[in-house]
Amino acid sequence: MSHDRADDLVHGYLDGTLTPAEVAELGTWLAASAANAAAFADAVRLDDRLRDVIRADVGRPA
Amino acid sequence: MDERTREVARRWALAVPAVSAFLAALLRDAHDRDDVLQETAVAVLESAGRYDPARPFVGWAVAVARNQVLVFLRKRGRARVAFDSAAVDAVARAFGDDAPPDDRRLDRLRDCFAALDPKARDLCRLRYETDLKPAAIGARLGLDPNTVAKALQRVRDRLRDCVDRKAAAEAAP
Repeated sequence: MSHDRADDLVHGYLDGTLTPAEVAELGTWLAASAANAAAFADAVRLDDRLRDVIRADVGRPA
Repeated sequence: MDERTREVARRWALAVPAVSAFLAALLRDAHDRDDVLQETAVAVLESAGRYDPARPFVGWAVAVARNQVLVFLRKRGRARVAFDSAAVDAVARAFGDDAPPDDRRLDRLRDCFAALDPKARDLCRLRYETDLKPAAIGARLGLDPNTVAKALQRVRDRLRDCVDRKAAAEAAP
C-alpha cells in the first residue's frame, strides 16, 4: 500500500468516514508491520490530545 | 488493600494515558471510551493478584482493557470492534510498550494549535469541539466533504510537524 493511501485511511478512520471495506484495508495494513501500527498509534495520540486541547481551550476565559 | 494491590494501583495511575489512547484507537465514541476506561480500572484492581510483576505493566493493562472492550460491546449488542483480531493485536502491541514514545512532545500541541491561522482553528473546533464529521462540516461551510477531510488532514500534519520541530529545538544543545 502506498504511503498516501495509508495516510488517507488513518485520517479517514480518525474522522469516522471509512467504509467497512476501508476499515478492513486499514486493519490489514496495521497487522502488516509494527512500524505501521506505531504510526497509527502516534496519529491516534495526537488526535486524542488535540481534542483535549481544544475542549480545554473552550473552557478558558477569553 | 494488600501490598500487591497497592503496587498495581500505583502502576495503573502511570499507565492510564497509554490505556486511554489504546481505547481511543478502538472506540471512536468518547463516551464509550470513558465508560470502558472506568471498567478497566476496576478490572485491573480486581485482577491485581494475577499480575506478574516480572511482566511489563502497560502491556498487561492494555490486555485487560481489550477484554473490557469486548465485554462492553457484547453488553451493547455489538459483535466486535471495527478491526479484526490480527489488527487489534498489532494495535495492542503498539500501545502496550512500557516505554512509550515521548508523550511530553505532545505538550507543545497547545502552542501549535494557537499558532494556526484562524480558518484552520475554526475547522478544528467544528471537528473536535462540536464533534462534527467532514460531511456535516462541509454542509455548514458550503464545502465538499472531501475538501473538508483533506483540510483536516493537512491541519493535523501541520500540527505534527510543529510539535516535532519544537521538540527537536528544545532537545538541541
